[in-house]
Amino acid sequence: MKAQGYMGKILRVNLSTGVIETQELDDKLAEKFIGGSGLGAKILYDETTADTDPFSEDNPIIFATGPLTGTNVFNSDRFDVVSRSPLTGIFGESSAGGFWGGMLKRCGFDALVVKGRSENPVYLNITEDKAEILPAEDIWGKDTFESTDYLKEKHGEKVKAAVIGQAGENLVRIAGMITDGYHGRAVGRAGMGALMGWKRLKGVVVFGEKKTEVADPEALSALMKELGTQMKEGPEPLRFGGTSVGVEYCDEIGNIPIKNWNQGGWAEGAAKISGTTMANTVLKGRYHCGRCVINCGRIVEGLPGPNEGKEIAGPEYETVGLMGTNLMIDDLNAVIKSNELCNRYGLDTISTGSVIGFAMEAYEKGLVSKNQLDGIDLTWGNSRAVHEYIRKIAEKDGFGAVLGKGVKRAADYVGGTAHEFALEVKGLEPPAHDPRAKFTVALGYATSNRGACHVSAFTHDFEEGAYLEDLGTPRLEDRFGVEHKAENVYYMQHLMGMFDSLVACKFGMFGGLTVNPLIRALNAVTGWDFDREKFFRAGERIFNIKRLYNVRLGISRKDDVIPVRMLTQRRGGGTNELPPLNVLLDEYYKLRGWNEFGIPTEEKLEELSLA
Amino acid sequence: MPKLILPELLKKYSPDTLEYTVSGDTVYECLRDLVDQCPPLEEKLFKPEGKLSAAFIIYLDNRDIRMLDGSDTETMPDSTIRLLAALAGG
Repeated sequence: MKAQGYMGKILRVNLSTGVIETQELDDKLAEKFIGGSGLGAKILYDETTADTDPFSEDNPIIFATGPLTGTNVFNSDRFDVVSRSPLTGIFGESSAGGFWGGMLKRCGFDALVVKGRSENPVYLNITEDKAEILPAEDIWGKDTFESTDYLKEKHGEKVKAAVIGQAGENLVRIAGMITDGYHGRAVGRAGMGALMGWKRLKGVVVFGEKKTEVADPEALSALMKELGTQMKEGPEPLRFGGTSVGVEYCDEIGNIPIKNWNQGGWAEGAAKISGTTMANTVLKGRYHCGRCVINCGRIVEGLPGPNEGKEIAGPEYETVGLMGTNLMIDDLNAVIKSNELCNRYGLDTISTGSVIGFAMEAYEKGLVSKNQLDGIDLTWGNSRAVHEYIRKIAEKDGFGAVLGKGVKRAADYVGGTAHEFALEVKGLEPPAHDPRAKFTVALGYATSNRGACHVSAFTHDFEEGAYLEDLGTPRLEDRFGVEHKAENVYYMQHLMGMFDSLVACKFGMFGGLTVNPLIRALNAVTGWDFDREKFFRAGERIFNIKRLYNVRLGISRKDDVIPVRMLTQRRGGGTNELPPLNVLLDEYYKLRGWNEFGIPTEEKLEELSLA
Repeated sequence: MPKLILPELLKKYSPDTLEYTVSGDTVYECLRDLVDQCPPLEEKLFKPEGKLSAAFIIYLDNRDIRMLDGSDTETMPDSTIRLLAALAGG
């Protein structure tokens, strides 16, 4: 008897053998690991060893939805992709919005697990209760937009496709996937596009119309009705200005990266590329993911090039930060172009902006020559050079091949003092939130299981801003203080793990979809009886299985660090403070029940039923 | 006189109410009147040099004032000014 809220089936595909089979989803497993990120982490942990190389047939790439996916819970058509990251070599995951996740579930599957490696380029076509492996020679070498157009033409306008571009095909380690075509919702982080490319899997097409059964539809509808007004009003800034609506404020407090995280403030530059400026100038419309009422997605007009005049995705906050201020670019159209190029080639905008910023500083410092840069003058603010380097990274052309390996490997290659300005945590480049501006971000980056990540703790908007009353921790009064910071990160990591496993959009928090409503939604959908303790225990279990996976790979306290620039160099501008990471870590490990080296204790694992 | 609505996160600085009646011919003047009524809000809304902080997005009758005349935007007696927290992420 399958639990309500689930389709009860996992689709398994082996590209080496061509075998496609379905597996029943175990109810007990679902109750312990929920779905999405948690379910993916459990499968990855159980089915791999420390010797399973990211680029190997046994390394699965797991696409997982959760019990809320496909229901009428706000913002819930998301999905999570889990695997061993080819960029970091450790636990990797990336979550995406759009409509793909809901559509996979409407095909009758909670998750898709792909192993093996095809001899020739292929794509998966998934419909209700079945799947087929089809040749992809016609679209191998094409960008994500062209590929999506092709797949829609072949399988119908209603299908949803998650595809890689040339970057993934070329095994560029900072490559991602794109869903929703021109509107560009991205599985950006941790190099999942390179994994797809290694498996010679161009994309996954989904279309189905199955409904997710809900245990108590009346209770769920009542909850959504209750949240309705708040969900429309709370996230209003995101609707108006998109995720980059706070760019000016982020500059003011020293949060947004400027000049490879090396400059304090740049108010005039930040203002030119902010979400407000976008809304007032080039914005053509707003885009929303499945079941979303927020509409934070931006629609702008394609600039000269293959997509001129088409409605395409505008840049998100992280892209504005890493491709804009981080590179000293204050031309909004140039940032829009960078975003479009990354989406077309299938590159993570955060990692791409980071590694180009690293290269600019290396060039400025004389560690790489113009000749090494293939004659391109990669200087601050040179948007033409940036656009050319996006192409070079995707096509592994010249020095672009070095940068496409990510900041950590690029610094190894450049040598000298390069690691002093190579910004990464566990091999993953940081998003556009500076730990020197908000100390919870330091602890969040250091302990996130995939490396520098802003959404695995998501404290950046809550340290001096909004407050989650039902999180159960004290309000944080001082962004530079240490009091209650470890406790806050600890609980937020569990809550975020639940968001990623249920799966729902974290922006729902601004509309009232916080702890208690999430528990009510989970119970209404599944028929289970989660209380607060069981909810947070599940979040803690999910966090710890990822940590166990990493511990197996040798991760410990020595890796729970932040980049040396963020730890030792005062920024100026909106912050002149440095985060006391070790103090925060000591308290955090105690809360976690981990030993002083950051390893979960036997007692903790027994408590979480992970022993 | 214009009505001014504060976001929940300012409750600590204005524990008794999040809704004020303010006076002023412009948004800026209304906000100055607000901090006269509730001085703890000064440090949250204004920078030391007296300029408005970017921490809040300010709506006047459901329109972002940055799309109008900024803090110099004129108010009407029946105007509603609403402050929302600036968010970032994506």
